[in-house]
Amino acid sequence: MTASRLWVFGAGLWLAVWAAAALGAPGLAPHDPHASVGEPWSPPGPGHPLGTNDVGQDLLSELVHGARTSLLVGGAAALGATGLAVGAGLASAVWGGLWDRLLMRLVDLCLVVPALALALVVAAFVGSGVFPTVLLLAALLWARGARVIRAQALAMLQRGWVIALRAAGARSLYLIRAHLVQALWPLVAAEFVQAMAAALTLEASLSFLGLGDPTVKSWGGMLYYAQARGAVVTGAWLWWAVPPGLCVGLTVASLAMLGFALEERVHPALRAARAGPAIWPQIPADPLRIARGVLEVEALTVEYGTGPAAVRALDGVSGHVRPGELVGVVGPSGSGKSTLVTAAMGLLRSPARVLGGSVCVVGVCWGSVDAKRARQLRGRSIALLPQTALHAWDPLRPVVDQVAEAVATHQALSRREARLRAQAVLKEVGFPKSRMGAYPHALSGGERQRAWLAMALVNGPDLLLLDEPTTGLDVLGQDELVRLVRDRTRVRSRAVVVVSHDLPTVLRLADRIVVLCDGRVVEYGPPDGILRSPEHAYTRRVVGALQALRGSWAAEVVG
Amino acid sequence: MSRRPVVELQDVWKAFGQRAPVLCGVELRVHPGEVVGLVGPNGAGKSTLLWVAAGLLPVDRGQVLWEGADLRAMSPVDRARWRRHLGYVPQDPFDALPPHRTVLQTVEEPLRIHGIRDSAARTERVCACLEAVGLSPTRFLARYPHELSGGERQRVALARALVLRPRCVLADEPTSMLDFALQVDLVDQIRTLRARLGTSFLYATHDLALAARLCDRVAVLSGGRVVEQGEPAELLREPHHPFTAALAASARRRLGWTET
Repeated sequence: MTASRLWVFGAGLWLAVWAAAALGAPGLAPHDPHASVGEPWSPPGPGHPLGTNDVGQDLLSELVHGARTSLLVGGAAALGATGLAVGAGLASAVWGGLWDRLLMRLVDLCLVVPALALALVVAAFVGSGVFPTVLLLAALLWARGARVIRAQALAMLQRGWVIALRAAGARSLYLIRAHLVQALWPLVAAEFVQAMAAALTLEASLSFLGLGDPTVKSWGGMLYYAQARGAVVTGAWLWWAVPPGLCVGLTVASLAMLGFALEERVHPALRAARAGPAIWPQIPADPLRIARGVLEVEALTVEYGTGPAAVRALDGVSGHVRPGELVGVVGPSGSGKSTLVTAAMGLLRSPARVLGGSVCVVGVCWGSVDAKRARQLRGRSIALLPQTALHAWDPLRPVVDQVAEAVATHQALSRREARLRAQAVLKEVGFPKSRMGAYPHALSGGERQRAWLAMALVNGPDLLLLDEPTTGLDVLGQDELVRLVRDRTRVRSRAVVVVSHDLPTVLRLADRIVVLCDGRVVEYGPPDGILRSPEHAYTRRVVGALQALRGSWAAEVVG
Repeated sequence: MSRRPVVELQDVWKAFGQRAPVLCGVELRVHPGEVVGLVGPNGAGKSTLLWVAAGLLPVDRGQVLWEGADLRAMSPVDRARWRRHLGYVPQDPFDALPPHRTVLQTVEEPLRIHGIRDSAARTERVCACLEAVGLSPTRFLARYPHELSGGERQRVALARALVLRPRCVLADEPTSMLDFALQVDLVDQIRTLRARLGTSFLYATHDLALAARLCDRVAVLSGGRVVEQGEPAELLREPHHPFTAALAASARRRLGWTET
């Protein structure tokens, strides 16, 4: 059994034990929890494993009986609240319009009215007891969940596969039944856990105010009495307050653990992905090493995972980038491009393992430097334009501030100087002056791409890495980017590497092209050479695709 | 066979809230068996137009016709039933398939929606569709989306769009996020499918070169308007609208011809 499965097993066991204890409380508890059966304030001893309280009631018996109320009230209230939240949230998101407005105003109302005050009023009319308490708690706790589920369902309805199903004739009820509930399951489970935790504590507060049933024992009630009767100052807290506290805490944690386990069952992709700490073989720094290039990769071999399931992403990749060069790396998806980019930035993390080889930037090898020096290298010596450049922005600050921050991280400049530097570089990459103060959401894709380029270039890096720079840009944007990289980056950066699956773009940019396939360098040379006589099967396929497009275009024009 | 357009948009206007309209009087027809390219830059309104054509968004003005029937005159039940004649392929391969379903479950879902109960018949249909898009059923039926590459995902999405043997497939830039060689592969696959099945396509893309290879007719969309439409040859030889000319120039440079 793996460690994580052991945790899940433990959580399940804990809940099962308490559920059994709650069911069999009258038989299991050593004493009647309401009777004074021992000396008041006795510490744990042979007759009373958890000691007694201020009136001599057996605390273990109280704990076992308390489980009944706490689990029943907490579970039933959470179930009710989650059910209401799912129903209202989904109805709001799917049917929208009047439904949405009505339900969400009701949610607002529930969220605005103080829970305890409302509970007081309602309890005064309805009276105490387990069933009214459950109803009351459910009514108090559904609103927040409804809002969360509505938001998530709205996002879900915009997903490509949901639109495809709707276009194929799927109706709202079908979508809810067949997909939304399942897809939202992790959220529903989390809501249930939170609602249960809240219900457990609210139940305790209500008992305290005389609105619960004071004759019924519960964990929350025990905690309250421990505090109210001075257990905290006498030292009796150790056996009076800690056990019920632990019970509440561990029960909530166990529920969360089961929630995670369920989430993994529902989303198979989660089973594959678990990140860990960095892994570079420690390479001693070699002061005699003379850098031949800005970037040197030697016999780099990287695997993901271990044992028979291991996947070799890079298999003995070597190559270097000289100052002044613009090198293109082309390859299909799964060829190891992303791993190479991550390795060049020194950002490989477990489950990736470096089996051999090295990556050095301006003569400094990853693995031979500490974390602080590594951070200095990144951004200053080697800068990255990430694949997600269109989206990787802090939405709450103007882009110019974010570019200035990149300056301030690496250079000892005043805020004003950093800002001026940022503005100068933004201007250089053709970012419109009138948009300098704009927030990311107000910018077009092309503008965001330019701003990222400015951020990458602002510290004058030795090497600029462009990772799939044309992703998400249309042909007009791609055209702009190509011109920008050709004309501008060379002024600011000593060398550039473009990693892309888009051969036409790389052909337009690079002095030298490296073709990566199945983790190996299968071919390299100048663009003309690659285009004229591609050798490897993959290269022949992409060059063939380009020739096919040229052919069909020419055929249309010539007729 | 009727020569009425499968999907027709007449003077369609659409705005979201108080913002400037996304579609401003769009006129577009997709005839049976025809592949129409919808070419425009990001933000031109391509996705909105496809959603409107699929009846997933109500229009503000104008009308959408499915084989001559006004969509607004149809009941929700009739619309849902008519959609068996429509397929839709989304843009992002990583968003195109439900993450919690296998390939078989995903591709057969439209059949389930339209009440085909016989599971053996469904599986047979799914296998035929997977083969048609170039995926081996034995290898792929039991796989989950996270075990597939981007190109494989888009093929599965295409298979799902075709499984009901629709009259028209609406494709929202299905190749724009794929490897270059795969883009051309998929476009060629769609050409073959059209020739074999006679399905018409409304194919959105920003790349005029891909559209020229695939489409019988191209409509250039800019700022929510169809600014020009015609056969690819006409548009490439003599673009009338400056915007078409700009798209053509970018596409030519992308193909590596006229560098400036």
